[in-house]
Amino acid sequence: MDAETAAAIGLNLAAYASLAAALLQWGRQRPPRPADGPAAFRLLERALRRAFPDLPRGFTLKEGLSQARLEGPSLRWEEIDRTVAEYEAFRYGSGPAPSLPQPELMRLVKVLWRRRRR
Amino acid sequence: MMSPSLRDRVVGELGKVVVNKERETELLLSALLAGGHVLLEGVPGVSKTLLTKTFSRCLELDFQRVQFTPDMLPLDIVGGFIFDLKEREFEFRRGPVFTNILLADEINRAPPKVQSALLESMQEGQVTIEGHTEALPSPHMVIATQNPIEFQGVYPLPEGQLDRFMLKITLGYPSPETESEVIRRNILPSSSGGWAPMGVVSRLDLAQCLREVEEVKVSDEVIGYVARLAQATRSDGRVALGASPRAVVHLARCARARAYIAGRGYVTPDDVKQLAVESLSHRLRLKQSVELSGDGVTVASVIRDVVDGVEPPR
Repeated sequence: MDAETAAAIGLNLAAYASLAAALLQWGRQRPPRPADGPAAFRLLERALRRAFPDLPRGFTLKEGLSQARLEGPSLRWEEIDRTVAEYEAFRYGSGPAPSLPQPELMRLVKVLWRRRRR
Repeated sequence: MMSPSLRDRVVGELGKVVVNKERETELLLSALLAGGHVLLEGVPGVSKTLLTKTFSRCLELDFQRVQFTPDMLPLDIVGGFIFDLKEREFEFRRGPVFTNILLADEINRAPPKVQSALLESMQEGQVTIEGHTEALPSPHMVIATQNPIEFQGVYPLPEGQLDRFMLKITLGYPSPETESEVIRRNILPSSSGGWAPMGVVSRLDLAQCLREVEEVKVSDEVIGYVARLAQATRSDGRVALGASPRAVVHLARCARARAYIAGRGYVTPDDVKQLAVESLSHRLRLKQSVELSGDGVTVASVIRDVVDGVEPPR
């Protein structure tokens, strides 16, 4: 193998390695896909913990969300509040389980998930 | 289900007379719907009496005020048998406790015998004198006031009696803006008649609310959360006396009423958290070493730490 080929292989390796690293990084910044409505809220809880490590152990979803609201991502908060109220009616009352998709909630989860990596 | 607008009506009507007391009004309403009694603590002149009086008027409830003094007797509160010369027999005369809302002003000025007579009626919802038992009207709520800075000529309520109050609401000094509004309202010409509160919830509506509040769901997980909070107050190293089982029941019942006035049919951990300080602060005792340490640790700050440390169901 001549020096030129070895250099080309090295260059290729470096390019693929950086591509793989970028893909890995991109994958880490993306939250996992929830299987159902309640799983989306468990994911929201994880996202809040990731984004705001200072939140006390005893935080509630509403408290976490008010912190997220202060951070100011431009989301449709009325829709998120309505979705959270539906989830609470299911979780603590006798309401039906929330269903997917919940686009605005998932947008918030993505924003919070990425916030940690900044 | 009681709509939040009804709560808004009470808060709105009361706000015409008492300035900036929305949260206190909501707490009073929660305690009333939960069948509890309230201890109002504050220095003189912070609208304790006005708040109570206006609250009962907004709800069209009977109201009595008793100024507690060191020379009082239990008879002055609960009533007793008086000899009727005409009929030549003893007749039971009801004391001021036979009302819907009793304002026990400066409760810590009365001797322990009087305090315990009142507190017994609060617990049992009835009065028994010499074998004669009479039920108190429904709803029945005692709102007792005390001044936190008085130490002379007072009989502090013992822990067991404090525990009978569902909530303790502390009234502080108003902000400059609120105080300006208070002054403005109090220098109105007397011919203007001032602000007279109107009844905004009828007795029938209130009776229905009292029935409906019991249908609000408290899930097992929320019950478990309340119980864990109580355990955490008992195991905190700074606390000498933690929350009693009665405190936990009161907290859960009041959270249920809070959920109801918010128009929900279920209790959330936020309902519990929002009431934790008012529901537990008068029942907890800090260790003397903590009180004297000068670190600024108060019962309220300990409760907030406890609440922050206990994971709620999410």
